Amino acid sequence: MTSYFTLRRGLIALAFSALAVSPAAAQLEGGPAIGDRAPVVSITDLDGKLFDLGSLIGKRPVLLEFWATWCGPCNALMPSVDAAHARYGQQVAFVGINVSIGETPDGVRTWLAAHKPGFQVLYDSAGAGSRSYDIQATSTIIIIGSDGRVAYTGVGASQDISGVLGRLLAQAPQTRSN
Amino acid sequence: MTSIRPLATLSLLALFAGACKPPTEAADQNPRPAAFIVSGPDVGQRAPGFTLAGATKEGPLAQPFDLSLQRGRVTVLAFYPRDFTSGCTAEFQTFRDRGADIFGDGVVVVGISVDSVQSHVGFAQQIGHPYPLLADTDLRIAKMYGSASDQGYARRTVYVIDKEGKVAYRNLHFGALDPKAYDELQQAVARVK
Repeated sequence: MTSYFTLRRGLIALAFSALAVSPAAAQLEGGPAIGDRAPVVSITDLDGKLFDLGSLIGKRPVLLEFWATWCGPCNALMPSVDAAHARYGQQVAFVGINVSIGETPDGVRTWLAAHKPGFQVLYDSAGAGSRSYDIQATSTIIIIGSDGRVAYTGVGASQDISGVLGRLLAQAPQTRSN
Repeated sequence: MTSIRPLATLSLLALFAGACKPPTEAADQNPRPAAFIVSGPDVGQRAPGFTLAGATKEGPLAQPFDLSLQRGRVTVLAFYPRDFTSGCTAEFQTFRDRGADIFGDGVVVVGISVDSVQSHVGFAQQIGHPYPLLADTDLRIAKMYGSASDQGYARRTVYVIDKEGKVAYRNLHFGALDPKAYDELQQAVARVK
């Protein structure tokens, strides 16, 4: 078994070495690996309408944040996300996926009215996003390159989102060539 | 499942999981041991006994929690990584808010992590958690239940133990942010009540 996984690890590392844009700044419990093809899934918005992430993924860089109103690290991370949105919002699609755990649509609307985040808001009432991306913690950020592959994963309040996006966008042409 | 020996089960599940999510084993940048360490008692097997100190939001338990004393009651063991983390907060807030539906009356529910009794008191008070949290500070119990990570804390798993002390359900990769995970747990508890 060990040799099987060692071989797998070696092959996978070799396969993705040319695609990796930036190492993860923080370790996730669960979540996709760098270089994974990002799951294309439909998630409801606050009105219950399905939004297809496939309309974004593979067409332009996408930032997904899995968040909740009660999540302290998410609130602490908000200035970093807002600053990144102000700087890169024209190039990168920012999507905030509220995990719906411990939430109500009206509670989220109230929070949004007060905080006005820069990202498009989805409300993952069925858990489709959390399940597809194997998300185990709020404040998880997934950045997907324009090639549709995961370029960054991180969790927690101290993520330098602008820095990550700056490096990703600087390397994007090279990434696409792979 | 009970006719398959544990080693064969381990091999099959590890191969299956690897086939489904190949990059999981490319762990240098994003280590995720969760789905691959398959051990601990399987469904139908007797749940290993243990005794652990613990706490509620009111303070430390007067007596250690003893699993063997729960015989005759459905017991839910919820292993989780750490107090005060967002995933664990989501899980235990959901247990708090939906516990009456998920577990109902008469079900023993305990959370288990490496955190200390003192930490558990603070965490339980912060979120108003109504169930005991147990201090598995050396991961001894998590290892018995196939729930220890190689990073020094427990993985997020759930076991439902029936009134005879046998495992009735287990989820070795419980999705704290997945509403369906809670629905499945609720159904599992209902089946053995």
